Amino acid sequence: MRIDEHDEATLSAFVDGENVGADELARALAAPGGRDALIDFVRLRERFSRDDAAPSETFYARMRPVLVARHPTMNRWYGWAAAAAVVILALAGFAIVWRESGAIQPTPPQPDRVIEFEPGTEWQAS
Amino acid sequence: MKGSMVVVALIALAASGETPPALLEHEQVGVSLRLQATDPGGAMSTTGSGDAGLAPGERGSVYVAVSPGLCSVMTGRSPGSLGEFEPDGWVEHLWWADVELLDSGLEEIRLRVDWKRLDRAGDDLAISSAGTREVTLREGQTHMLDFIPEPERDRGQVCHENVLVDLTARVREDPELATESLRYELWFIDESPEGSRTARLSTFGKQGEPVGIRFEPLRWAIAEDVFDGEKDADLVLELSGRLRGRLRRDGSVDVELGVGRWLGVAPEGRPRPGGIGDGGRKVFSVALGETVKMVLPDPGPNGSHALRRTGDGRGRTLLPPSRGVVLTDEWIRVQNAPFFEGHEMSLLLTVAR
Repeated sequence: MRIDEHDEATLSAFVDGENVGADELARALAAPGGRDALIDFVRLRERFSRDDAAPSETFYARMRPVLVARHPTMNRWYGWAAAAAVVILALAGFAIVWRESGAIQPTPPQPDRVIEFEPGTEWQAS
Repeated sequence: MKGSMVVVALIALAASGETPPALLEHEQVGVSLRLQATDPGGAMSTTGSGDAGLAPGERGSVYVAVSPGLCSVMTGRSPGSLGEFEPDGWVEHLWWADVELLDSGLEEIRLRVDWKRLDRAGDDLAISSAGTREVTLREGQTHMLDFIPEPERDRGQVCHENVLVDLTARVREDPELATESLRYELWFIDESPEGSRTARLSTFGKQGEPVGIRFEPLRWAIAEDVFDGEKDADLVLELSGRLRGRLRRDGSVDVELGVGRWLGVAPEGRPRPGGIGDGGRKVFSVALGETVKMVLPDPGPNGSHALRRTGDGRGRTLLPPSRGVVLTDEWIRVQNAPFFEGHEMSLLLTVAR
């Protein structure tokens, strides 16, 4: 006979060290299959606590080129760069709005050459 | 004396490096003998033209002809002389011009024109007037040759009130560059001890196309409470003109720039009701992307601008007496020399493709 889901959850929580009511624990243990379920949970926990399985050296060798090590200082640099980019974009947007609103005028370019209108021939006074 | 002045002028021109651009080998001037006719009770329009493309030193013969009543028109360029020409029998008036292109550039186009008018006399056409002229034109200008005020009303249908025959010339665009467009960036700058004022405009035109330019007026507040409604007075300076650019195969651009400058007194924020103007024209070459500064001569030192006052006769000038703004019971007047002392006005031009 299989233990029901509620009693099973009570026993699992008890094995995981969580607070469980004494009456609920007693009822779960008294339920058909309750004792066996408790023993299964204890065995399972015991097995996980002994598990020292780790990826093989071959796995590490294959993954090393794929995974780029992230240096803590690099992460910090990326953060500052992102923040600076946000500030620059905000300032640029503000400058465009300001300029379009006529608050500032662009300055004339520097001339490469200077020529003059010759009075009398190229320029007629009134 | 006159000869020595020409030599001095040529030396000065060569020294300045501002030789006016001339026509290149592959370029031509299009010469048109045009027939302009006036619709009965309507407007005048060009109804036909005889056209010829001429290189410097080249000659060509062009003609236009009309029927009685000015209803039919025949035009063209003749490969032969007038003596070899056989007009249709319906031709009532024929104008014939042998044209030689003497010289050409953006500056001006010089033509020698030997022209004749022939009128119907029985079965033949006989010369009724003729002449030889040396004509100097700027691009697009016209030179009138002849005029017929009345058509032959007794000979049937009348299609036009009168006809005018003129000659016009324009540089033909280099086929390789005919589809080019040019962008013009212009600045008008007035620099003075009080600071500088600028007006800017951008425009563009097709190859060889004249484009109009007009800067936003510069205004100086000169007096307050001198017009009805306690309005103040401004001195207004307006600069406008026309610009034409022509890209050459070597990447340079021939520029023809004509500008007019107007100065006048106006009520605050209102258009100038009058004023005095001066202006000029300059032809020069620039490189693409090059910024050229053109210094404008000072406004006429003896010039002044006045506007009759309205209002209750109070008011005061906003500038010290040394600036040349004078307020009388009737007038507000500005004298150029003291007002613009220390000013330099200039235009900046940058041409881009």
